[in-house]
Amino acid sequence: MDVEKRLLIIGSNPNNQDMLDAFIKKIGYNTFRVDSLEALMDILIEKQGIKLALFDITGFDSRVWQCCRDINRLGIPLFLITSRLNDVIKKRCLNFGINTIFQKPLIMRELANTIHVFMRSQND
Amino acid sequence: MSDTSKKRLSTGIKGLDEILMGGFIPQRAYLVRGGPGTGKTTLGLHFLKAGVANNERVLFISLEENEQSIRANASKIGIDISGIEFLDISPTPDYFTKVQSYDIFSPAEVEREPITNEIIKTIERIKPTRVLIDPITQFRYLSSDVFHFRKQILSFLNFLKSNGCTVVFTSENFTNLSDSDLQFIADGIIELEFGEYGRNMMITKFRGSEFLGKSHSMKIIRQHGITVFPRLVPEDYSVEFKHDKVISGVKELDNILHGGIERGTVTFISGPSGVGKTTVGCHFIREGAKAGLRSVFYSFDEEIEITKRRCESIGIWSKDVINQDTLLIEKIEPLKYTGDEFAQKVRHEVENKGAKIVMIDSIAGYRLSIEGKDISSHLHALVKYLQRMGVVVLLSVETHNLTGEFRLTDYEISYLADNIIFLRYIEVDGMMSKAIGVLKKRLSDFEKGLYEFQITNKGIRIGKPLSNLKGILTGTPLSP
Repeated sequence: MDVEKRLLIIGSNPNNQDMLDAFIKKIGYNTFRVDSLEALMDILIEKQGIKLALFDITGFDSRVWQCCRDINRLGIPLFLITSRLNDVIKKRCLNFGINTIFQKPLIMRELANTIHVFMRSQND
Repeated sequence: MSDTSKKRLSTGIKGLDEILMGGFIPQRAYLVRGGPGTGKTTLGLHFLKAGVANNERVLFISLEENEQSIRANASKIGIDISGIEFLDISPTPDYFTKVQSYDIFSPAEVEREPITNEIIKTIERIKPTRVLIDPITQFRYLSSDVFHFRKQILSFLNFLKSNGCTVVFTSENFTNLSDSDLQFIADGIIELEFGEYGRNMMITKFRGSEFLGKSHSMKIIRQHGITVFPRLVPEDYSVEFKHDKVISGVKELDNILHGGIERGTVTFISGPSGVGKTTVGCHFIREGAKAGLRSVFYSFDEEIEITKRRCESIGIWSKDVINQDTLLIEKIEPLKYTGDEFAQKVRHEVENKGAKIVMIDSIAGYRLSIEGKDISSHLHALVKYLQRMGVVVLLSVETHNLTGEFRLTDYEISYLADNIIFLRYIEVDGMMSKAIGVLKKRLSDFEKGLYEFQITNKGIRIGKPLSNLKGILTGTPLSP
């Protein structure tokens, strides 16, 4: 596992977080796991070599958009995960500089490929 | 029948082995498909039990029913499943709450890997030679699409076969969810059906082997499990025999027949109700049994006690005859047997007990009592089989008209007859009488006359030819 390649995973559902955390590790990356927006702020302040953030917005309130803005301002690439995908969300994603949107349930192979390609492009 | 049973694995069901020409070809995968309750799991259990009996290691991979329930149900139908290893990957009670608690990935994606790993580990640990996967269709829910399902199943079956396993996998064939992809993958297909006339089995594919086509009846019996009754194919049977004659013991009748009726022939005893068809047939049965030829009388119409008492009262069957080992008198209860099952019963008598004379009393009773469709073809096959086995076949054939227009039979089966003995009611001068004659005898000449026929307390009495009357077959003969 490449400890330098840290991915931040943010979500409110502990089971989803467990699965995503295990999956990201399995495909070869280290993780920071954050289960609340409050904890997210602490992590962002420290910003310990985060290469990519995966943000599952399900279950959070409207503060998620401010968090997205903060992540974007710090120059951390952001993949958004949502259970519903509508025009409002798409527009906000564009406004907040979100790189990719995934709709749940995620397809493991597709997610892994997207992360790998993105991480390689970051290194180039 | 050709013996190709070498290098075959018994399915654990004798009749099915016969249909498959000895059993499954090892290291291949066989699909058992059918609706709910058709016996797919039970068939699979027989397959595994046959392996246990053969000191093989066997594995049941259950994806739907839990092990406890399978054990309980197997015990109810008398299948002892000790020795069978289980890999129970049916959903546990907490599956529902677990699945409800996440949505990041589909359950199919989450479940697939642990299930696959568990199967691989189990196969490598047990090293089974026989595997039952019940039902394989559950894997469909672990695949993202049809293409992946087919690819995964093909790969899984190849993994099992390359590990030395012979595989039976089951599928539910719903009309809205076709399993045609599985049918292409399978090396053989066994179709099970539970229809209006009971349970049936049919083989629709068997790579690398011949098999008995058509539908075969089957039963699931308590304490015994599945019994399959293969469709009788007369062409598969034959023995060498001499056309020895069997007599009736009634001198005049034997004279009319020029010495009796030959082995390997079918004799119709035709006439209206109550005219004496059974009595004529019972004379041949008696003489055969007395001569040491096993003679079997299947009664479809009359209770056995009545037949016995009637035959005793007219001196045909004494208690000595009835108690002989060479005589079997059996009442066939209505709707107890299918055509295949009755044929199996007769085969047992012929092949294992050496029966040489078989009487079916009557064709009308057979048609009413035997369950299933296509009764005439079952009867045709049975009669042809008996012929080829050198058996004297006696069929009592009822005609509906008591008098009047002459008809040999009301069914389209007269082509089966080698010999025809007919009985008629006739009215002479206002008195009711009976007449007997022979219409056809394939292997010898016979007397062409019509004779007065009576049943007395000493059996049949046949008088002189009714040469003084004409138009006897109309039922109302006239003096010339």
